[in-house]
Amino acid sequence: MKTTLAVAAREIVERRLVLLGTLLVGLLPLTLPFLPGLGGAGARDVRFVAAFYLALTIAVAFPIAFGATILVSEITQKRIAFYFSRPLPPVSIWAGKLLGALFISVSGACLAAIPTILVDGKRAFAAFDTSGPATVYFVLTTLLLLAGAHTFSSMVRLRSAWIVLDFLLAALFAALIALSLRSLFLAGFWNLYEMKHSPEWLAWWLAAPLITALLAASYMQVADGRTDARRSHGALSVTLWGLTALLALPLGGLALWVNAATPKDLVHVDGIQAAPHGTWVGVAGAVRSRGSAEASFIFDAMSGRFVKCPFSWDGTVAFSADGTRAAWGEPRFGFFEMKDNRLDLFVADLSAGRPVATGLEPAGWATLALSPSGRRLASFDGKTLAAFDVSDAGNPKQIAVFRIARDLRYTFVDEDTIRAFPRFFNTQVKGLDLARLDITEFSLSSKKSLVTGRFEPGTLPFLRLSADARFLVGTRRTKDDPSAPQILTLHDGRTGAHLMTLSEDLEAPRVRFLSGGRMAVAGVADGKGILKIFLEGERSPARSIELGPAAGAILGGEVSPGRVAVALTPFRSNDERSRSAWKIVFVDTGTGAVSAGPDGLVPADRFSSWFSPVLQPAEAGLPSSCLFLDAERRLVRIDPATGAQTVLLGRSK
Amino acid sequence: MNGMRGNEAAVVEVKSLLVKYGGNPSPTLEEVSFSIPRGSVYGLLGRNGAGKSSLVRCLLGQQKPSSGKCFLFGEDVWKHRSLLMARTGVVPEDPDAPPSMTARQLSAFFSRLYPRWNDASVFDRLRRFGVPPDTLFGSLSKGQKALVSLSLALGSSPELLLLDDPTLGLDAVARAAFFDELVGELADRETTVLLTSHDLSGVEKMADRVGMLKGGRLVLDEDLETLKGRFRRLRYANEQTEDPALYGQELSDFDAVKVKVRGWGVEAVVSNYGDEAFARFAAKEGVVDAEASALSLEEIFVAVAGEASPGRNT
Repeated sequence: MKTTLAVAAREIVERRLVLLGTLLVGLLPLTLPFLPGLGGAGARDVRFVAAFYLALTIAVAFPIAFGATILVSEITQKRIAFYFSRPLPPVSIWAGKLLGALFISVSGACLAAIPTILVDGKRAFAAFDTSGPATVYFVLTTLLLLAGAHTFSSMVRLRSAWIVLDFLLAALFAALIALSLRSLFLAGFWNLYEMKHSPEWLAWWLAAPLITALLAASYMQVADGRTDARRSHGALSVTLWGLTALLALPLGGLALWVNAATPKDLVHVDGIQAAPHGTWVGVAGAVRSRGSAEASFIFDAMSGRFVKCPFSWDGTVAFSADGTRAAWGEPRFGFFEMKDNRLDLFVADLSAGRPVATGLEPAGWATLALSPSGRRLASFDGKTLAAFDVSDAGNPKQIAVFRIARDLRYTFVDEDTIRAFPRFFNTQVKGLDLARLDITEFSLSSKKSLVTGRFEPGTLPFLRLSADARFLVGTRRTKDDPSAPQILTLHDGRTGAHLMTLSEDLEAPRVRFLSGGRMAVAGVADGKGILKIFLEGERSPARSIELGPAAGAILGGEVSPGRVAVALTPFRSNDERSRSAWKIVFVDTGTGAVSAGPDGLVPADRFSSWFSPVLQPAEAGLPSSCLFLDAERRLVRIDPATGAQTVLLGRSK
Repeated sequence: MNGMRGNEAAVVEVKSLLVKYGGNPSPTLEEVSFSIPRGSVYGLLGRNGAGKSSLVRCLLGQQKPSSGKCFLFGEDVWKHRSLLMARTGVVPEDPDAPPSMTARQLSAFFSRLYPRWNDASVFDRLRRFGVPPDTLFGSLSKGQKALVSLSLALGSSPELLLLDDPTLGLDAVARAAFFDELVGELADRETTVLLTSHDLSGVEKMADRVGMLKGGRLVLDEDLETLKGRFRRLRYANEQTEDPALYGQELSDFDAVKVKVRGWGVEAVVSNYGDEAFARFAAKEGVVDAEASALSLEEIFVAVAGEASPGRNT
């Protein structure tokens, strides 16, 4: 330590005139208010600003200048031998010079501000952030600039062949680290909001290894290179790139690993979206041991096969009616930021298992729909409804474009026709444009649109279309109170004409079309779960079945012909406590018999009503009807015949 | 002695030293081995580019040899440089002290580095040399810089002095002052000295052993007196032939380093002179007026370094 301080003191004494000069330059801000137009009431501010920028300039310029010269010049001119022929260990030479340069750089910036602080007192002092963290950042930044300037200067000035390797590896590692970080960011490995909202924290998290590598490299350069310029450069390069490799390669490995997550790595499933037919479901959730990364997959609930969606921001997937094709959008990113709020569209033949980029770029938040066969894709970006032939997904062909300046929900009703209907959650919206209440059909072959129906203002419910497009089901609140009963209505799917009221007395009513033209409606009334069964063509329920005490009811699918699953909970809230309180009951729609199912499960597609404009098809025994989420949000399949439960995805805590 | 330690009786020991620089196919130093016992003054000679400075850098632990090792006081100098430098005084070829420091500041700086530092002895020497202690090092003349370097090198009372051509470019007065001081220092203490110099008269005055580098190899390594004893200049006429091409054949009993045919006869430098051999040579048929004269170190250096390797007839 004694010898280190001796070297540092020598460096400082040798450059004492620089510090004196800085102090004199610090007088300049005091003279500025005497210039025309800079005096008067704002004189103090002029001094503050000038002193601040002067100190900032010195804080940047000094470490770069001293970093580039204080060791490298002595090595190139062989003057470093002066130290190596004395009883000085390399660490004293290295640390002494570094400390000296650090002291001069930091004190130089401080000295430049001192005259202004002396004249203006505490108020001027307040213009500079002198808090503990700011001081640490300042010193670390100075250290980074010193070490960076020294390293770059060494590479350029030592004139050895290592420079070729330096620039090659610098480019290689920079690309590897940047791509790895990008990949990790896009995968959500780091959650910026969990980093205490602190970009500085993140910046230093990344800068700390860089400073460490640069300092270690410069130390090895002195310790092993000594007076030999070529060897000194070699030691610097080997250490720097060795340490960089130690950082970059595991980082690259981590990025590969994070992105190689499979559905089996899902810790829990945040939500699923089931294909209308077949066994494929869209699943998304957090993945184990991968920070806050989340992943989305289209997963075959029977075979376990999957297609990974590299980045599906909300797990929303459009399926073809036959469940063999899927389409989804992924945000287009610049290097680290989302670019122009645009999407890249992907289509996958699920049996082939590989997504194909279509090259289509709708604006962000576009909604998608696939035709029944999956050969046609429609996207709506809020202004334009466009349809494409995606038979060859990599080479899509535009079929038709419609300009529509309104919000809407839409789906293919057949290969040639897209039906759009209003999309409002709040039925109390006033002053609605009548055109926004239309039901419109768009013909792809004729490229014409036809208004087929319209809702009246004030009566517009939240709408979903039945899978066969014959009916629209509407839910409408009469009061701005989530616990109040809602009106569930059935409308003609094409004209919107009111056909019947399914329920007026149930809280949060939900509907399912069942096989044989029947319908099931479930909800809560007077603290009890209620299931109503409607037969085809009848305007009043054939049965109204009490399911037992409940504050909430979720209607599941028809797990087997005539057998419907309903989940009941005693809690209104949807919190951790309520998750394990769900109880499944199976209801025989023919007899009204209620049998208890497993506890702690809820139908897996419970939230799909919010993002899918189309209800599940009326088909008994759909695989997706047998999928449930347990209290730990694991995806569970129930065998309708035996009641046996199989955990498909998710991990127990 | 094992592979990790040198001969502890030798203050300096160099073992099979090889120094190569990238891009240069021939090594700068090759298979160089020698040792310097305690109290010796070793003169290391060689022409410019012979590898002296590389050897000195290796000996100071400033440069890692491609292979081989250098030991000071029995320790590997690359590994223990810092400790060994506390026992070593160095005067470099180019005075490398920071130009913005005075001799006084340098002495103060060194006093924090060396365990045994004698400020008074430094200033005493500077006074004797007539060098002002408060003048910036960069403002001193070359001779004054060398004398300041010597004063500082002796300030720690080193057991080993390593002088790398310290009088290069000095005038005769400065050279004399430098060597006089050195001789005085050696008389006072049993300091071991390794001296490289182009000033061969200075080396001859001090050294008791010399080594000579040529083409990266150590071609000579022996006591100065022995060296001077075996080298002689022979002058003679040869009456047996008038064909200059045959001159020198009569020298077959000697290792002739150099043979020159002059108008009056033949002049040769031999490296294995002996009185009996000379008597036989002088009595050879045709050899007339043979005489042998001793050579200065400089003459030996010129004969050996200037042409082919010693021991080979030319």
